[in-house]
Amino acid sequence: MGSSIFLFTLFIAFHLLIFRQQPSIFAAADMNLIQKTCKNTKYYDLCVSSLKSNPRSSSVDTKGLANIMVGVGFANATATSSYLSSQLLSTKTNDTTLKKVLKECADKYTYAGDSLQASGQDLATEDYDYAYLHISAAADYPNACHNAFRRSPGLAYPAELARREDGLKQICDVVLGIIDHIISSS
Amino acid sequence: MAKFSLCLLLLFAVLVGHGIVELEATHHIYSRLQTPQNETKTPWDYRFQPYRTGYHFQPPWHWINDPNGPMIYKGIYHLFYQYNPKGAVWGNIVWAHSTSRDLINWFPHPPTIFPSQKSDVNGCWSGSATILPGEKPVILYTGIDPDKKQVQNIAYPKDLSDPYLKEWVKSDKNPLMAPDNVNNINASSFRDPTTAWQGPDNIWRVAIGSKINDLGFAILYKSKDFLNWVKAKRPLHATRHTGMWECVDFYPVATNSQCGLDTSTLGPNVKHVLKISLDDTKHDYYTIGSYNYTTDKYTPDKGLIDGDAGLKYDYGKFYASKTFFDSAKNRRILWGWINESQSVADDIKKGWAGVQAIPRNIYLDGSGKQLVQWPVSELEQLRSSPPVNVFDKRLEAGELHEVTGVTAAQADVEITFEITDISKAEEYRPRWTHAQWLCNTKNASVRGGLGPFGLRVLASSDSQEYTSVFFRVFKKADNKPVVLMCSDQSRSSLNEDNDKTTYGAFVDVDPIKEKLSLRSLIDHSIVESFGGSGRACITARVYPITAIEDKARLYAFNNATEGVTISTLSAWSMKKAQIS
Repeated sequence: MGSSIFLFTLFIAFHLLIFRQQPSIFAAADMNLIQKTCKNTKYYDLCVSSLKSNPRSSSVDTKGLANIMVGVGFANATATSSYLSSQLLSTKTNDTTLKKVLKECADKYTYAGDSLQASGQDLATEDYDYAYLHISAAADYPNACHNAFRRSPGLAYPAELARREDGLKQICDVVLGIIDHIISSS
Repeated sequence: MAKFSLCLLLLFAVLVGHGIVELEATHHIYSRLQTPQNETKTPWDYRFQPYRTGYHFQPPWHWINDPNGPMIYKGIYHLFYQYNPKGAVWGNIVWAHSTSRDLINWFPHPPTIFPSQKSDVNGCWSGSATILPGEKPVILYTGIDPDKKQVQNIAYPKDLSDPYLKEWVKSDKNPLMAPDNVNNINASSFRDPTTAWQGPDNIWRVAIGSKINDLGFAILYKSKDFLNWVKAKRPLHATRHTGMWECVDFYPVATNSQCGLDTSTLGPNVKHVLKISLDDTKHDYYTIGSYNYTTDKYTPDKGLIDGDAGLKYDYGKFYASKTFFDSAKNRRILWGWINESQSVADDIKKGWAGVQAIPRNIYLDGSGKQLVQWPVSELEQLRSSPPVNVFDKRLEAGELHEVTGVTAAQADVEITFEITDISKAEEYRPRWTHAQWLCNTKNASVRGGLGPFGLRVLASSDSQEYTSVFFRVFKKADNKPVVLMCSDQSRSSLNEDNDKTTYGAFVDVDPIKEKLSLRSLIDHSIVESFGGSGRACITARVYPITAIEDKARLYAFNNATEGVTISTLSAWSMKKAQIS
């Protein structure tokens, strides 16, 4: 009985080892594509870590990597929009200025998400200039939110929002870099 | 804290003192350089005026820039243009107005569009005319509002029975199109509406240039009634890394004729041209392509590029151009602004700056790969008959042949060269793709086997000052010819303060199959040259010190190491036109 369990465990362990090895071989080849692609962007580490964490990245081409990054941006913009909406709900009802600004910002980050979605469609049809335009627009929407705070004296721009603004802009910058790379190597 | 406030105050004072505008506009504000109100200088105070043109459009004095709203109405041509009524630098900009029956002789009217509403209180910038059904002209133009934002306004004639359309009124609905919180349009990059075009769905479309970071694009607006405009979801076209698109122009061209087409024309034998003026390079570029009116998307033909690697209307000084459909003669006519190549100080001294190019007929080349331009035929009425003619003359290596009997500072010259074999031509290297660089490296003094040969204009008899407009023929590895055209201003003037940049363009012609032709319009301080019957155009501004008026000379030259044959040369003295 003991030896069967031992053999069984050995069998399982052996298979686990095998199945861990094989994906790594493919991953090594795709890491090359990810690294090569990300080298052309402004934020290499962000680019690599974002792409690596998506399982699809091991089986797509450079255009696919751009698409994945667009998805990362969309998730990011949508998350910020939700965050702002929840902030809006928890704000005291008599603070009308802050409520107005938070609403405007939530809208802007939703529009950023819409732009990123539109860019995904343009990437699919290889309309790179339009894709670039939409991503540039997405990267610009956080400025509109920041300006809304600037226009309201007495309202401080929250550090958390500044962090999210930078985050989305950097993701967009990475996508733009990938698109430039796709076009220049075609 | 106090020190910091003081620094801020000082900085603010410095900025205000220099009259620097905060927003990103294309114009530097020279608030100190405007003519003061109480000092009414007239052009006759600036007596020495050797550079004023004889037949190129310019007002008596002051600054001009973009041609605006060119059109024809009841048989009369209208030209509006950006004008500063107060000085020889950009500022106080209004729409000046002149009319003509022949595109050559012009009659001035008072300025028609000037700040008068909230939506243009800070400036009336460029725009275009659209002729609505029933022969009703309207103008869409960019106004600068109280917050210095760029908005689009409409103006229409006060009295349609006045053929000169001297007075225009504005809608109180202005602005019709403006940047806001929802459309997120960049308020300092939203200007120069095109002539509108009507689709088969009867909906009007207009394009307005904009940018986001360095991505230039043309915003599209649509309307049923020309008053209520809705922004389209997608722009008409966009291109990365081109910067701001100014003076966008979008129009159809016939693929099977040289005739012009009404701006709304669509059909099987129609292609479209999208032209952009790039703020970053101050040049006009165009692509030829297809317009899908159901998706409202323009796609340039394969291989054509928006931007500095693409085709230009003119490879010299030529900007903010605009076309219109001449319904009287079924032509499309191109206007272009030619800025000065002198220093701002010299412009102020002479009291004026800017001229307009001679209007050009523009059409699609038979190859479909480029546009061709040629000065309107009405210009020829200024030619003094008979011309000075030369036929079948061999120009030996190094020869300079003077063309006498014409007013060399105000002339129209056409010269054709006959080339039967290119075996002696220099070898062309494939990496020589930049024509301007090639003309700078191999200027008029660098001798080749088959070039440089051409014209020496606004030249002094002692060869101290001259402008060379010439060809240089190369042969490729497969023995096919490459023709380069240059306008070399490097020796145009002894005044070192001038911009003497040399310009260049490749001419898509086979000099063996057809005679190599060059036409130059010479007019005191402007040389407008057309190579290959209008396939390559180069305009230059020159300001010689000695080669002026009756001291200017005209030569045909050949500085190659081999002889070349002039097939024909015709030179006309040009009469003065009524230029405004």
